[in-house]
Amino acid sequence: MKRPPRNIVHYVTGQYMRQNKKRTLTTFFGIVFTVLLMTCVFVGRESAITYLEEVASQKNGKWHYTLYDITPEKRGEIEALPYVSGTAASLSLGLTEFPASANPERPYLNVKAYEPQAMSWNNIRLTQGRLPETSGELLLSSACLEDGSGVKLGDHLDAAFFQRSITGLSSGETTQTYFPAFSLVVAAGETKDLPLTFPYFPENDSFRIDRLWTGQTASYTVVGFMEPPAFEPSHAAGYTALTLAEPDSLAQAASYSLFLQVSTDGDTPEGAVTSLWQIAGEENVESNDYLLAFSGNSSDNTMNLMVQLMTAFFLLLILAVSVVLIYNVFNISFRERSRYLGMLSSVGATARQKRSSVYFEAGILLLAALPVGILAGFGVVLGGLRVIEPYVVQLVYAGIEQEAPAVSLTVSPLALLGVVLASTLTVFLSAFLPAWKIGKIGPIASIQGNPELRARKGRAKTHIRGSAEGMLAHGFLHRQGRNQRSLFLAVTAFLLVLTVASFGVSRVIDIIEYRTQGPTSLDNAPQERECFLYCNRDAENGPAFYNALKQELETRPEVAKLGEWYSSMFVLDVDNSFYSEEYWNAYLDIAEAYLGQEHSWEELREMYVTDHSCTVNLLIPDDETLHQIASRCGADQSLLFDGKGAILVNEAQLDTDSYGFELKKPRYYRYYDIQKPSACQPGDSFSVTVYNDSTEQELPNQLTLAGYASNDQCAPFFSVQGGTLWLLMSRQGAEQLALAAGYGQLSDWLAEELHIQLTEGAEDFVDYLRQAAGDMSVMGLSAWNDPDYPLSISQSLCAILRVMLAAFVVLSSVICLLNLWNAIHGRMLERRRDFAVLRSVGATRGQLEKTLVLECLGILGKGLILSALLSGGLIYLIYRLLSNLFGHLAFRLPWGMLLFALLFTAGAVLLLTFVCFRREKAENLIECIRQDSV
Amino acid sequence: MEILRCEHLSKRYGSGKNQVVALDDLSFSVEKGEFVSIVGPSGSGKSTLLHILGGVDQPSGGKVFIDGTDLHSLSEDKLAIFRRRQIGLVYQFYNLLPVLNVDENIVLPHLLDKRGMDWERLDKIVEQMGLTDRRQHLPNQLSGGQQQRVSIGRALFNHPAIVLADEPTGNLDRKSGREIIELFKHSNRALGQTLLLITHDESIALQADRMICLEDGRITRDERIRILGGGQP
Repeated sequence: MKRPPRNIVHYVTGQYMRQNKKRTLTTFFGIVFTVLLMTCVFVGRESAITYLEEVASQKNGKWHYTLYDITPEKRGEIEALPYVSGTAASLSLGLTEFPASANPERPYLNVKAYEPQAMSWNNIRLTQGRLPETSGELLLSSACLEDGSGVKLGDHLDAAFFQRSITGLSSGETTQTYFPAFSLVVAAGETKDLPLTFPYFPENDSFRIDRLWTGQTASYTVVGFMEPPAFEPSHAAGYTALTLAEPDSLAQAASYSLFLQVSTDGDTPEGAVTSLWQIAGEENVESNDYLLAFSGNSSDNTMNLMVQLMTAFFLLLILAVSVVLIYNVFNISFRERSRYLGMLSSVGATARQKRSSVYFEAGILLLAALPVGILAGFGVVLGGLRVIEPYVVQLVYAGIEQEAPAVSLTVSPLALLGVVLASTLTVFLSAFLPAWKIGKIGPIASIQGNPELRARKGRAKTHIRGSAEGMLAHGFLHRQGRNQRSLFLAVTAFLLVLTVASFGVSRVIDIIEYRTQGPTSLDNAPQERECFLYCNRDAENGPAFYNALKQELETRPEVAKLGEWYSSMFVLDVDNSFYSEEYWNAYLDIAEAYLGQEHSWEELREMYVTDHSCTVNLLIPDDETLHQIASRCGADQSLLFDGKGAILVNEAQLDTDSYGFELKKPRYYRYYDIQKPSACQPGDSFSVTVYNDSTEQELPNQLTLAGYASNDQCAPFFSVQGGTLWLLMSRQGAEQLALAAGYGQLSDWLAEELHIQLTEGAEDFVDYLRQAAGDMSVMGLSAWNDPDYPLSISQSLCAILRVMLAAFVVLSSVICLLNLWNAIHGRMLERRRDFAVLRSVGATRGQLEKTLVLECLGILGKGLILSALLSGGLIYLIYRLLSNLFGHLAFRLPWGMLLFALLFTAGAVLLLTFVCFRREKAENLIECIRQDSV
Repeated sequence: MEILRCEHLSKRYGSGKNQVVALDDLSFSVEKGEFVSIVGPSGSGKSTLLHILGGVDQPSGGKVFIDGTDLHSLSEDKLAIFRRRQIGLVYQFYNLLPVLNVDENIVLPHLLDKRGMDWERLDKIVEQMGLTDRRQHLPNQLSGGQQQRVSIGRALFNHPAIVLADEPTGNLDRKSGREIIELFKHSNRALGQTLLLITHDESIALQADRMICLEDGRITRDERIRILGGGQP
């Protein structure tokens, strides 16, 4: 005989789960998705950071900091710091002759002695042979082989080390020689030491390079060749050569460089850097930001905060979405469950036993869902990493010819524990409320069904105004509100997640992008077949080349339109009153970020506003473009083109990078998106002063504001950003200003650029322009089809954040769709009997469908109101939080995303409702009427 | 005048050895204004017959004509429209819409038919059903008898060709049951409403003009009832 079940409540729950396979499966998949999302958060974050660090380490190496000029004593101090997890020394021996070199511009070897750990941390990759094992063995950069050197393994090299110095020579008019790439200026008669990576220059009239012999010599055997390391510039005079740093030689060295790794999870990086600065000197500490940025430990605290903020933001949203989903799943089956639990209750089951039924189901499903969700999560994480891979590779591999490491998962036991704990917490938290409610329902209410509806008291006002469909929809919406709650919650959650996520991420991206582009800029926006050719007037023959090319382009059939633009920054002085109070307040907040509490606000204002020299930038587009901009922004065109009017691009942003105060570092980063940066109104006249470099005179003039333009209105042509405002003037007006200031022509005052529109089919002509600009080296070209440049850290973070947002939106949309499906399907099952009754009294399918549409619209409307209130509140909180952390942000709502969220949710609700409704088509009316429940 | 006619009606469930014959070659007709009761033991096919006659279930064979229309030749939507205009269905468990109040439940078939609201008719029906002080109550705020009266009001509102009632008193106490039967009798006698009522209760069946007995899906008796003395049987 079969043994009776040990726990009858659990047994009955199990039977219920088996019999309600659809519902059980929906709950199961809901929990699977929760686990999947948790896996994405915990394992995804870990894998992404490990992968990003792995990729980033290819750029500069796996070290976090490099400290220069470290004595053995200082090394002891550094190694004693609690957060230093390892060090490796590098002793630079100097340059030596390399007779085997086949490249006349690289006649030396740059020899360094590395400790074994330093080889590993600097990504030394062998192409032949092995690593040096003694201080008599040498590993050479394979770049020398590529250049044609005949050196081979086993060859012996004798080295006599030297450094180089440069001495400026007096020749003709040359008094100083500039090396911009090395920030080096040598005056005639002056001698300076040269960096080891300095190129090889032959005899020259302007300078002389001398060798300074260190007195050290050595003999080496070549034991291996390595890929050119990341720190070896291809222009360096010496190929890199590595030997082993033996303890004795390090002990005898006066100083050397030290690579170190810190524990990124422990002490604050800011504290770490400060301690290192104190020991080694600030100028001797270099941080590997590429490696540190992704774990939120770079020297840029704003970026660190962004990374941490986004992780917390997504984790919170995922938790919220998951709780709503699982809560809904249990709440939807509440009525069904309450019936059999009511029956159990009538034969003696306690409230605790009823509650345990819900927890039992949650626990069983969670156990099954954990492995499935975790495995699916691994797949999603891998897929996500593959999506961000191109951005990461673009970020790190600028100029490095190495293969990116393969995308892989990093799964630590701690991350897995995090997934299990967070999923368990979410599931049981979500099941708590339905379990508590079920525990409270008495047996009679449960058995009679719809206990929540029975609780209604009072009269229901008759609502017979229009159609039967309207009456039914009103009844279902207003008198069975609790039964609609699941769908209502699902709709609200969907709208909320989409809007809040898009707002939060777009604001953060705004800040990062602003920092990426720098404080002040004018970006031309070349459209299809458009190019801008800039002239460098300071370059030798610059204007001559430019004018010659302009004349040529005027006759070329490939050029459909040729316009000339002029622009320069900080060329017009205006009164302080031209800028608004809002602008100055932001400016003073920035001053405070630099100066702290040393000065009162009044003092700051006195010091920096009253006496502040205030400038604006000037842009002169061609007349046709200016006409279009004036039309778009409604500016007074007669004023603009009679020479005395100007349009103001009334947008400005200030941040702590925009200004410096007293050579101090700001205490924190602050960003201000200024809504009304100018106090000047359209129609107002204002004074401007033009400074003439040649005559060194300031010449006042008067302009009138013809109108405001926004960046959006200028978007087809250009965009501006930064803390200095831009004025747009006609060429005629600008020429009048220039002439009045004593300039012979406009190009003496402002930088000119050609705006070229190519004819259709002449796209290849851009290659000619590119070559002309490149060959002459006095012009720059910006074209519509410019290749993508390597991304900066900030640009990559923006790209990665966008991918994260997209991934989050997709995943949360899937969860929300599942939630919607579950709510709609559950609601439809509960209403099969109602629909059957309606059909039996003569309702057609069309009428039922119309009723459903009206109901859906009602629910969407209610969901929209609630989600608008909630997301409005949340968006405002995020806005306040970001404003407090980073300064002042514009409160711009992502309308496009909001509209998408609304349409997508409405479409999903209607579509799922009809799918669920039509699936019931084959049901027998009488069977449905007889069926009390599912 | 013949209002209902069924010809060789059969209904089978399952197949092979498991096949159950619920109705077996049933033929009969009902005249306009007639009050017919159908009696029989449990499982005799009474409810199946009524559901097929009401167009909410499909026969395995045979035809049903109501007012000359072959019911089961109609498309799903046409059948629904026919039901709301020509058939009034009353169930044992009332089957009211829980979200509609008394007034709204009663006028539901009328509104579904997209006809303008007939408030006079509603007032009259509500009064006839004795629900005047319950008009804005939801079904779950009503007693079983009151719910059944709402259900009858809904069935009668559109002046259907025939009202089909499936054990309308089966879920009610004796007093409420008697009130319901009186309502049916009133609608039949005073308004000429054709009625077909299924019941277990022979005393109720005997109040009809005609009684059809079913057993194993077959008609075993179909006879007119003579009421002796003109009072209660």
